[in-house]
This record gives sequence, structure tokens and C-alpha cells, in this order.
Amino acid sequence: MATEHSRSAARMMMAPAVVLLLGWMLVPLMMTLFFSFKKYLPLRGDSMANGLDWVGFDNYVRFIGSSSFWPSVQATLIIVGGVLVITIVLGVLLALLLDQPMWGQGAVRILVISPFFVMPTVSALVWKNMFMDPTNGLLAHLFIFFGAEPVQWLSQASLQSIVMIVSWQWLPFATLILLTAIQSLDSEQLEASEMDGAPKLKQFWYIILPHMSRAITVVVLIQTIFLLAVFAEIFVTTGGAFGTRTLTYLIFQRVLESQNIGLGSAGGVYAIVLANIVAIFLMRIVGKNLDK
Amino acid sequence: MARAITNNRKIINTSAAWAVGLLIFFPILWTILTSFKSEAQAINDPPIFFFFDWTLENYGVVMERSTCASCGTR
Amino acid sequence: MGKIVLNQVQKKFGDVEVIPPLDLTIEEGEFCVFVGPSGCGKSTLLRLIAGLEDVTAGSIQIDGKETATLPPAKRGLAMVFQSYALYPHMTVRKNIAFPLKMAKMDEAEIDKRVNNAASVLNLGDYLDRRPGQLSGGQRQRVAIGRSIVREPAAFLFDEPLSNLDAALRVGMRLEISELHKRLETTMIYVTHDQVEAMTMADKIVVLHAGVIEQVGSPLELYKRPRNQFVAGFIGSPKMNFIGGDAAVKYGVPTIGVRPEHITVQESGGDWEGVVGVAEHLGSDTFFHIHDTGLAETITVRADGEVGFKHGDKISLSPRSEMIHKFDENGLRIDD
Ligand SMILES: Nc1ncnc2c1ncn2[C@@H]1O[C@H](COP(=O)(O)OP(=O)(O)OP(=O)(O)O)[C@@H](O)[C@H]1O
Ligand SMILES: [Mg+2]
Repeated sequence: MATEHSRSAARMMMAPAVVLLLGWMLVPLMMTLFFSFKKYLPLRGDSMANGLDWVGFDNYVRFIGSSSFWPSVQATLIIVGGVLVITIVLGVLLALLLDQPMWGQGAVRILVISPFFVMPTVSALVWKNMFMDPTNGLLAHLFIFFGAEPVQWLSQASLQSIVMIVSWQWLPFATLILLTAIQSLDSEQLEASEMDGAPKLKQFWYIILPHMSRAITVVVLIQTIFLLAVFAEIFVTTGGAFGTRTLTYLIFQRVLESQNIGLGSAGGVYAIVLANIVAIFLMRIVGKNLDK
Repeated sequence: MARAITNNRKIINTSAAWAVGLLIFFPILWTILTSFKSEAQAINDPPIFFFFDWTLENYGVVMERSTCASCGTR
Repeated sequence: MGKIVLNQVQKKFGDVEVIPPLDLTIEEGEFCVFVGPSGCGKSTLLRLIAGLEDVTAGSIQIDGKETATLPPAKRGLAMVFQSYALYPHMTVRKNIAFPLKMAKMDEAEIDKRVNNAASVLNLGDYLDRRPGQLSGGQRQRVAIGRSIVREPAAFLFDEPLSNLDAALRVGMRLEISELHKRLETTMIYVTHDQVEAMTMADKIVVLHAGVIEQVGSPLELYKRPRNQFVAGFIGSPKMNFIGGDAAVKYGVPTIGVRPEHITVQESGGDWEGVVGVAEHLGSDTFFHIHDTGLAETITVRADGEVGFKHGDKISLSPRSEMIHKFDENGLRIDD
């Protein structure tokens, strides 16, 4: 990127990709915004061809006024927050463990990463039918074996169950990124801190963790984006019942079950706003840590 | 850091890592095992871990059901 | 404080013996330099002393205390690493304060010591910066600062200047020497640069493949190298080794003459040759002379004024009292 010439050449070459990406993102965004201000109920005969009625902020008011709105925001935040905490904490510990010398390191790493290759729908089905099923599930057998009453996972502890399933899927991602971060730490820094008299725990706290903070930010941001959109796991397990209706799920219900596209679009815009608030909030927290 | 790692240390690391790795992998392993069980044995109480009658019947069912009309070959 | 004794210390990595059993004593307050070619085990020896590696056999005593079971932090040593190993996310102040904080010293004392170290090392203006915002020389000083605040029994330096440019290296060399004069603490300094070794050391330890070839003061090594390896390693440009008839004249298989102990003239000397390359440094001129029939090249260090050019036929005479004699095993023969 040195000369004026190379810079403009670079711009030229990037232009198609930028235009394509912008179109890709902007068109759906614009359509969502457009529909959110319209009354659009296909079952009642509304269609693009006949022209849609402009209803101003009606959809927004109705969406937010619905009794399921705030609970859905809450459910969303619990799932995102819960999974983030679990995957980061366990991910850091696992990364530390996998970084130690051991026999069969490669094989263990593959085992740990394996859940990442399972499709969300499949993993939800597996957990629902084979582990959390109150009569045939393995967890139920386990509880009975220890003389406890089996838990009705998906109805009594529905949110926790979903957090657990989703954490299982995302733990490999966090572990992998954090492991590479640990491996990139200069060993002389650890030796220096050892000579400076830092015991293992303080080495972790003052040297390793700050070194990983950038990787943790990356994990948090990427996971947040995907976790806000968690859908299959809820659809398969509880179908949105037992307080597991997230914002995404609510929008899905409004559009597909109630066939109210305008209302769903307004929900979509709220989801975008929420995602941005969460992202900015997280960046602030982690970013501050980075600058310290 | 580069000091000789005692074998004890390494044994502890290895067993801990393998335990965790297998725990994480277990749902997948269980799925694979169950896929070779018959319907009845899959929901047997108590669950059978390894010594069940291995069968491929489930795979056959999947293959049959996945015939799609539009493909036209079967 | 700061006497270090190595007793039959041996180090193996797996089956590879990197350091065969060796004995070495480093006196209190001494500036001891380990020098040797790359891969000869200098760093390994230093890390053994620091406790960052375990000895395979033998023992190390620091101030009379056996160190076998002492972790690095308890040995009272401070180390400056080649890569500086500063903590990138901490400010200079926090970096320097880190060992004190780990020792749970109280804030006021930490501040005092950090400020003191900063003024000694001219770091006052940079205390609130991160290592990433410092130049190489400044980083080096922070690393030294971090080690001096602990007031260790001895400092260990592993090639601390090798990442710096030539001018800065000379400057830092002086600063470290001055620091040693002021603190009067034992320092062990690893380098593969024999100029650093000669200029800074009280005592030089020449290592070769893990074996100590010679221990002595810089001048001792220069004047009376124990064998051909030391003779070739100490001194720049390198000593000329001459075998064959010229050596037989002195009654030995090999003789060595330093470039500065050969005089050049147009004719009438002991040996004849043709100038290959003449390197003019201003103060000195190095002549690389071919076709002498003694060795591939003979290097001569002459006064800057001497004006022979490429292709000139010249005549050389060694100063006979400065000739080193070696036997067939490369060991020095004294008259
Ligand atoms: N952890 C290790 N495992 C196996 N061999 C090692 C290890 N560390 C060093 N060695 C070997 O020990 C020998 C001495 O290494 P050392 O780092 O002490 O050399 P050095 O004298 O410091 O060289 P340099 O001037 O290049 O830093 C080398 O041959 C090296 O390959
Ligand atoms: Mg080295």
C-alpha cells in the first residue's frame, strides 16, 4: 500500500467485492426496513402487487407492546450470556490443559473439537432424544442410578438445557482460538515472570490472560453474532415453549405462524438494534481490558 | 519452562485431557453406537453400552426413506 | 553476595550431552562473560544457573547455598533475556515494578525503587508507555531496570545487545559496564561477540561444544591462549595459523601470529606475498595477503597510513616474541 498508484489499483480490485457485499447486506436490510412500516398480511390478501398500506410505527409499537417481547429479549440475553460465560471459562481452562505436554495430543484435540462438526439441528435432536429425554435419556438413567429423581430437562430447566446444548457446540470454537493464542505466547515472557517470582496462578493472571485478551474478544464477538441467531436448537427441543422464546424465535413465529410480515420485520429491526447494543457493550468491556 | 517434565506430570495431564476429551466427544460416540442398535435396544433400560446386537437396519431405513421423487433414479 | 560455584555440572537433552561435566567458580562482584560460537551451550549454562533448566548431574551453589531444590525465583538472581521478554500489556512502570509486586513489597517502597531505577537508566520520561512504544535500546533498559529493582545477588544477561544496531550496542555496552562498576554485583554475561567479551569482562569463559576451553582475564586470553581454538576466537581480526616449513623453523607443528604482530614492508621481510584485499578503516588497514605459501590468506593489521594496493607484492615479518606455538593437538607450547 505504498504508492498512490498501488493504492488506487487496490481500490479498483476491491470494488466488485465491496459492491457485491454491500448489495448483499443492504438489499435485505432495506426490504426489512420497508416492510416494517407496512401492513403486510398475505393471508388477508395483502400483496406487493396491490400495494401495501403505510402504517407508520404501528408494527414497532405492537411488537414491543406484545406480552412476549420483553421475555424474549430476556431469554435471548440469558442464552447469549450463559453460553459466552461457559465457553470462555471452560475454553480457557481447556486450552491451558491441551497446551500441556501429553501423549496423544493430536487425538485429544480432535475429540475436543468434534462437536463443532455436528449440525445444530442434529445436535439438538441428539441431546433432546438421547440425553435429556425424561424416560429414555441417558441423563435420566444416570440420575436414577444415583437414586435421584430424573429432571424433566426441557420443561423444568429449559433455558439451562438449551444453554448447555449450545455451549457444547461452541466450546470447540472457543478452545481452538484460545489454544492458538496460548501457543503464540513467547516462552521467554513466562520464564521472565517465573524469575520475577510469579507463582503459576499469578503467571496466568498477569501474563497469560492479558495475552489472550485479544483472542477472547474475537471469540466473544463472533459467538455473540451467531448466538443471537440461535434457532434450530430451540425449534427442535422446546419449540419456543417454557420461556425459551428468543427474539429470533419470536420473529419466526410472527412471520410464519401468524403470517404477519410487517410485524416480523419490525421485530427484525429490533433484533438488529439489540445485536448492535450487545456488540458495542461487549467491545467496550473487552476493549477496556485490552488498553489497560 | 523447558525443564524436564516429569513423567508423573505428563501422566496426569494425559489422563485429565483424555477424560475431558472423551466427555466432550461422548454424545457423538453415543449417537454412533445407538445408530447400530435396534429400536428396542436403543431404549433399553438400563442402556447397553457395547454388547448389543449390532445391526445396520437403521441405515437401510434412512437410505430407503431418502429416495426423492425428483431424482427419478429409484 | 553473589559467589556462584558450579561443581561437575552436566546437562543432557535426552541422549544428547550438551554440556559435559564442568567446574567453574564465579567470584563475588565479578563481571564474567561466557563466550563461544553459536550452539556451544552458553545459553544452556546460563539457564542452568538461573534454574530455568534442571542439571542432569552435578550441583550449583550460590553464596554457599545448594540450589538443586530452589526454584528460579528463590535463587536471588535476575535475568535479562535476548528478546527482553517485557510484558507487552503493562506500562514500563508496571513492568519494572512486577518483581517487587510479586514479592508483596509495599507500594511506597515499590515506587521508590522504580523511580530510582528509572533515573539510573534514564527511563523517567517513558514510565507510562508500553514496551511497544519504545525503541530497542529503551526496551533493553527497561529489561535491565526490571532486574535491578530486585537487588539480586547476581545478574544474568543472555546476549542482551544482539538485537541492537552497532552504535547502540557500543553505547549500551558502556552503560552495562558502568552499572556493574556502580552496583558491584556479580554479572554473568553471555555473548558470541568477542569484542563485547574483551571490553566488558573481568573474567572470560570460552566455551566450545559445551566444554570450557579456557578461563581467564581478557588480556590473559589474548596473550596466552591455552589452545588454538581460544587463540582463533579471541582477537579481531583472527589470529593467523601457519603450519609447514615456516612452523618447523620454530620447532613446532603450528605457529600462530596475530595480524597486529606482523609488519609489512616492500621487501626484505621473512615472508613474501601479494595483497588481495586491503580494507581501509582509517585508523588501521587490514591486508589480506595471498600467495605466501604459508596459509590460504594471511591477515595483517597495519597503520592507516600504509598504502599498499590490490596486487602489490609485499614482504611480511612476524614479531618473533609474539609468536604462539601449538603442538599437534592444538595445545599451546610455552617456551
Ligand atoms: N530444549 C532443548 N532440547 C534439545 N536440545 C537443546 C535444547 N536447548 C538447546 N539445545 C541444544 O543445546 C545446544 C546448546 O544450545 P544453546 O542455546 O545453549 O546455545 P548457545 O551457545 O546459546 O547458542 P547461541 O549463541 O546461538 O544462542 C544446541 O546444540 C542446541 O541445539
Ligand atoms: Mg543462546
